[in-house]
Amino acid sequence: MEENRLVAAIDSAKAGKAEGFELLLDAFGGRLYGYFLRATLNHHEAEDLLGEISLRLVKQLKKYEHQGRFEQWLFRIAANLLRDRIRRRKAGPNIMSFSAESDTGVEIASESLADELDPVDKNLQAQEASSELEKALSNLDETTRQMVLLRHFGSASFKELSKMFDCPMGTALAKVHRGLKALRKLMGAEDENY
Amino acid sequence: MKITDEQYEKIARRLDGENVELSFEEQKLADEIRLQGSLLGGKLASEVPSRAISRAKEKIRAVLGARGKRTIRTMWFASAAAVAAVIAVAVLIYKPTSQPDDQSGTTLAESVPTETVIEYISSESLTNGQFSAFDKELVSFKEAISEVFDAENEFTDLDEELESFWFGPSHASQEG
Repeated sequence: MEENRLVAAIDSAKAGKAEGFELLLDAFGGRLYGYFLRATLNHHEAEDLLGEISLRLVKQLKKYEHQGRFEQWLFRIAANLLRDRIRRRKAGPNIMSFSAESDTGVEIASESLADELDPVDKNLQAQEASSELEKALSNLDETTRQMVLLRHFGSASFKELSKMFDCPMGTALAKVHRGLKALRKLMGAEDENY
Repeated sequence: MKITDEQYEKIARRLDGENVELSFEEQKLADEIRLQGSLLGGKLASEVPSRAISRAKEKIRAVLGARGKRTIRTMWFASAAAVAAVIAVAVLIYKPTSQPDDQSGTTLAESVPTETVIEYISSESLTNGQFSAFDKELVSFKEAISEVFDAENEFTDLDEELESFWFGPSHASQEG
């Protein structure tokens, strides 16, 4: 979306006009859906989360001051929403944290939203996770997967990732690097150069 | 190739667009990460069901519609309360000044300036009957105002319930 159209859409939405929000959804809805889908590996969850972030957008846009980083701001809300959803599903003493990690970028403990779904959803998820990519993503630890997805879908900078996940920029880069490498390995497309 | 934390930090800054000088090996890794990202990018893209976007838009319209109605109602109630207050004050001023004066037979409206009516109300010359009249007016004014605000509070409660339905966890779990 061009900057001037984006600014007009934001202004319109901030004025409470549905058209403004719809323009923003047209521009970013696809990528948000993709992010939620790849993070949860479930179409129903992705659709539900898209609906929920739309409502959060209505609530939070009035606080937003545009400085050319709307997409990153939006995906930060998306990441928080996803985290809240995982926490709510957990609803127990072992609250999942984005800081959960492994050295290899491959998930050790089952702490993803995909593991918190009920049996019906798990069946659906099993059908949906048929592609190699989805299997590979599900093998990454939660933090690494989030970082890779936020970098791709939300154009998050390493600085933003470091703030979001409360870690040094170098650590964010190392995780993304290891995550990308692991994904390519798991997808059977390992480059011989590394 | 062993990369230190400091080197990762430098590469991260460079990939974020900062003007950081990299060694040959650091530059190689930066290029590698960039390439990996773009190779994976195409595979991460997914088809978006139009239904998902439509449903999200419907939710937005529903919430905005509810907010608009609440704003209109609040403005209406505020106006009604303001009008009621003006009427009540006018009645309070009019009634005591329209009582006949004992000595001259003229009304208080003629003998007492409006600006000093509050002073007059608190003076000893006010009769018990006049005090009662004031009390009655005050009570009826308070009742009228509280009715208006009770009704507004009921609407506000309804709105809050509606908002918590949309934004709260119960709605999410219903759909989830």
